[in-house]
Amino acid sequence: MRKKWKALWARRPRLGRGGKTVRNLLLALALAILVWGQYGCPLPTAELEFRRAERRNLLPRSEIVFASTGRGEKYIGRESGQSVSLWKPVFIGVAGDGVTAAYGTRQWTVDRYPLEEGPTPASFGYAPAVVFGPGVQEFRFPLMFISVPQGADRAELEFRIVYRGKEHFWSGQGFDLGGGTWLFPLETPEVPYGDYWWRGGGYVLRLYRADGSPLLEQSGTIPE
Amino acid sequence: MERDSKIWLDTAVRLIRFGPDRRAVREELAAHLEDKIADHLRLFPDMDEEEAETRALNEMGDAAEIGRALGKIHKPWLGYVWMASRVLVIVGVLWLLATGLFRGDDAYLGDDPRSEWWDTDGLPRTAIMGNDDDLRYLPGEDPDQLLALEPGLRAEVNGQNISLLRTALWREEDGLQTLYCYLRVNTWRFWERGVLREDWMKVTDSKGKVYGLGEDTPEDPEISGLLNGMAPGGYGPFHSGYELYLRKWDPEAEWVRLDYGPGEPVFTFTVDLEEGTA
Repeated sequence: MRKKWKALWARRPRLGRGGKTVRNLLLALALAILVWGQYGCPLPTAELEFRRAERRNLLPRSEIVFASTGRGEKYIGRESGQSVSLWKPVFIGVAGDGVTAAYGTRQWTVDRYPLEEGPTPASFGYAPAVVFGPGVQEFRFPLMFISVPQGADRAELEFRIVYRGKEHFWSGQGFDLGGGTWLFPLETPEVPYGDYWWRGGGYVLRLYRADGSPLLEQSGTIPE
Repeated sequence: MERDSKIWLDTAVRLIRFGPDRRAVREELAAHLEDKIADHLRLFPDMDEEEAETRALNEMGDAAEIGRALGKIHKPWLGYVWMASRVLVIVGVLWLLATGLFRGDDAYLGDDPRSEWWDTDGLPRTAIMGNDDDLRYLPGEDPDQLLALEPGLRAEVNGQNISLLRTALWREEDGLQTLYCYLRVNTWRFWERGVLREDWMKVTDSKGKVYGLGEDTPEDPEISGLLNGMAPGGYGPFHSGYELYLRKWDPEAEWVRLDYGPGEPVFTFTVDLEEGTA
């Protein structure tokens, strides 16, 4: 038996340097794929990760209306003098009659909401935003609205929810992130809270033009 | 021998820019030269070594011309690619051996006992419970097993193949019935293995009853647990398995429909429980 194996081994095709190089490169490629798989198949850009998250979750490919790489980009509030940053990659896209909102951690969290006529709330299960200002640096929850009319120069939000038996209320101004997307940095409830604590909350959104005249008032419920 | 031969050899290989090739060719030429000198000394015993070397060098040819020809044949970039490929293979093998050695199977599948390379049997992998899945989903003699089906329903969404592979209906100890379904999502694109979310699954029976899942799952105070749920039932590089269980299944329901999607369903599976068909 051993002799047979030896004879077989002796009859193996001899590769020249070119053949060995090709063989090695193919082997290195297979090994690289294994190593890449070991680390969860990371992709080079956040957008590619977002697109993959859409496909993994069986969602249609959306048109991206807001994207943030989460590298501490600061969005400045015109009047407040404060700025807000998102600390992780965040994408919001529109496909058909729905909005896809995705937040990038190791396993991307993806949610889908119905697209409404006018400003549409779309946010993430858990995503921290940081508000900076004179003597201020606070973690807040970013409640996002898309499809906000371009004429809006200032936006105010009132948010109310009864969470774990306790009423939670927040009101404040929003940050214009561009492209019709606004961010409202909600304070989190005083009681222990989980992801999606804000779902089912009621809101009133007021938009104002640059001259201060009202543009739009809309009330609704954050979809569950 | 030394000086003239050295000069000749150095000149002949000078234009080979890839170091290992240059050294290998030099060795071969040196061996040829030595053989020639030895031949001369053997054929002409009266000849001294210097003269034998001179003659041998003359027979080897013009070193510069040979050098130009060798320089054209031996492309340096091919040599560097070859060296790089060897390094890559060695590094890759060492890396995988090291991680394999220290982490074992965990390196690739994780330490979850539900992980498996392939779903060869179309059954959820709940290794924690041993072979309960075989009992649950495969037809057997247990009188409490009311139904065991292989619906074989399939859908394709975004390149992901979703299958409803198994359905089983059991009568529990309290006389109530529980419906089990095993779903699997698989794709050859291992870098984007599909997932299903419990809160996007809607289950309806033929009597119009909707079985709450996710946050809407009702609790059963008798068992201090959730009545319904959908939990991971095994996964691998190319597949994700999910097991759906619905307690207090209506015994008069004739079929079950699974609608999946955040709004409009992206796929729907309907299983006829009366006739055992899909």
